[in-house]
Amino acid sequence: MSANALEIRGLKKSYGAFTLGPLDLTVPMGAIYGFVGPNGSGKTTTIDLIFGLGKEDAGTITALGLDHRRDEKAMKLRTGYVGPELTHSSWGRVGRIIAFVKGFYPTWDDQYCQQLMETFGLHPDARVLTLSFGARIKLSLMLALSWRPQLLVLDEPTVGLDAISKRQVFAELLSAVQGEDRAVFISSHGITDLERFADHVGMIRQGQLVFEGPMADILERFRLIDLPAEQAARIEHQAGVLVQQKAGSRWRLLVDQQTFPSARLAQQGLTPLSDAGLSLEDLFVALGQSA
Amino acid sequence: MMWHLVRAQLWRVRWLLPQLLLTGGMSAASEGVSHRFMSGLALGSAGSLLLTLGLFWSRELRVLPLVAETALRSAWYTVMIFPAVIMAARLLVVLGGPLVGLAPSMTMEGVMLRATFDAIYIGVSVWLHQRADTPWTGPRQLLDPREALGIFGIVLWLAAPFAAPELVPRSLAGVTWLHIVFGFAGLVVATWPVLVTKNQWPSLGIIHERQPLAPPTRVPPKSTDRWIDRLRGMSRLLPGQLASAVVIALLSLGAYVAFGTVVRHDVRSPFDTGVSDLEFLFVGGPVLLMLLGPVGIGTGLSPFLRRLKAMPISATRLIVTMTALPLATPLLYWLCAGVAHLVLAGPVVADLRASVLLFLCGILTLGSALVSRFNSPTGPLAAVGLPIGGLLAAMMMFDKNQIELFFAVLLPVVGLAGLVAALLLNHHTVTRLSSHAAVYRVPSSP
Repeated sequence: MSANALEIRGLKKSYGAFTLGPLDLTVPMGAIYGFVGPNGSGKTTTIDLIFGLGKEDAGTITALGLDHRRDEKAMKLRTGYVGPELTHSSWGRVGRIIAFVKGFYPTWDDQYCQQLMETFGLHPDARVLTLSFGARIKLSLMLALSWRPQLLVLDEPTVGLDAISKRQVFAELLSAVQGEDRAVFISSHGITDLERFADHVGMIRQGQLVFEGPMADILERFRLIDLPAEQAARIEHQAGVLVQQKAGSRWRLLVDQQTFPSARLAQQGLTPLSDAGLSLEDLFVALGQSA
Repeated sequence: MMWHLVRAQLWRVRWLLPQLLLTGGMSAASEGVSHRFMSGLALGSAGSLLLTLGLFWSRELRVLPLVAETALRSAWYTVMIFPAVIMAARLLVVLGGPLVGLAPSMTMEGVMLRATFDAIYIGVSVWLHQRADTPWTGPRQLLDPREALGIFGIVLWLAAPFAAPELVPRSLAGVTWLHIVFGFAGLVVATWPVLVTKNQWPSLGIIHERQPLAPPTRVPPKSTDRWIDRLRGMSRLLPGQLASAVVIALLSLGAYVAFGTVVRHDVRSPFDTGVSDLEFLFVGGPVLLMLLGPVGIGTGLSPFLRRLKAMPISATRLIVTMTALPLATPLLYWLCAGVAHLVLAGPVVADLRASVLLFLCGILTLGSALVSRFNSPTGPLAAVGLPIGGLLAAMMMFDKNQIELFFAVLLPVVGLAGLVAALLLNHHTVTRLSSHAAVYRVPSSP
């Protein structure tokens, strides 16, 4: 068994003006990994490529130690997918889509499926077409969780969900990942939710990975520092420093301590007016703005 | 796993299988033009089911634990059931018909030979549909010689089922070396997708690698800008719809002329007194209008409904436009037929086939209203299939003299009823349905 649930190495895909990668990404076993990035940064493309929806130009993808192309079936037997584009509408009723999907998974758990249906307020006789967008997401999630996948890949699972439903979804995800041999990979714009539930995070921007690692390490790594303008100007072009705001005599800088450790401030005779950590959302916005 | 998929695929097309049974059975029971038409319709319907299956091979299925080989094989086995259904219906008529006093036009040998042709046609269609195709974006595409040639090839292939009675011998005695050679080559191509199972998911005309599977918001189709531009006003929406109507009208007239040239060796004007209303309805192009019209117009309008409702356009104007737009297709066809008559001359029917025109207007507006209401081409296909089936049943029940009189009364009544029903349905769609309804959702693009 591989130590990592998902390993992406040197992944590249181009179409039109957009190029994804080369992308390296690692989701450890037992992790809830939040995959964030602005619109059009390549999140869905990455997920599509994991499931063979489109062909990569270069690179390798290994899920649960299985090559996503060579061991396609074995990989998909252990890897679940949830996304907003799964409409299931052509199946008519919820019960029918359950009967269909169930046929593909020997590990399908009827009891758990029933329990999830009750939790998510779904009924087997309900017509899929009449379900709200949020209810369809819940249906997709129920279909993916009912066979207890080892790796669950979710593309925007909380789009269209109200606050209560979001909590339900994340509670189910947390229970699904209990145990060291399971992992969840979530691409989402719900940064606040991710910060609460995910323990690993990776950010992608314009097809390139900006950072990845344990959530606590990432949040510790970046800091927002206010400096007098004349001091800030001395370091504004140095690696690991991104100017966020130039408000008169006071500039706000985003500092990546991995490339620009705090100690260097003192070494260069700089005196911060303020020095604060960031929430994941602040970090997302700060890095997004500096693009 | 394979049969689980085949069963699921058949379930999805279950409403269209009776159509295959009906048309297949009627082709074995009828002679002449009716036989040709029903044979073509049966096989054409089977071919169109490929696209329905193509929709199946979307993201929903591709994330399931399947390998491309299983997927392709299951799709192939599924489509091979279609010619089997047609054959079963024909056998039923051939074996059971004489018991109820029916004189079938086909023999057992003929049924088997035609089944071979049908299976080859469907198999080759699968092979063709596996190849990346160019989506239809507008009449301007025809200006590109390569694309025009491709479209011509598709039209020719779609016409092949109607030529089946000429291409396939009626008994083993009529089989020549040429039939054997073409049959063998056809079998090889037809079984190619299964024999050479490369690692390729079934596209069946819907999904292919050339279109990235990323969300359309990020990688918009080429025509999106143009569509959004059109939405600045209703008037901007109309030229595209009218252009589609012109293309459909010209295609229908082209099919009529091709039929006259190739089969009858006598091209007569659609308004010629020598062409009966019945003949005009079934071989003169109106059937093609019925099949293509509502799908073209309806699928053109429905994606815009939500945005149109949000624009400062009165509901009445929207309802009237939705109802009036489908009328463009038959009216333009009549215009084209009029021009054709001026060229070909000859004696002209007194009423210019007004009853057929009224019938078409009613059926097309109703079909289009159904597409807009249900956001799916399946509804109008059924709406069109019912009147065609009704007309064919009437043809079988009445003799030729009675039927002309029957049509003179029936066609205008059906037409008027269709117009009223379409108006009411459009009113319901625009004023009553909430944006939660399926009609306001763009069908998931694979």
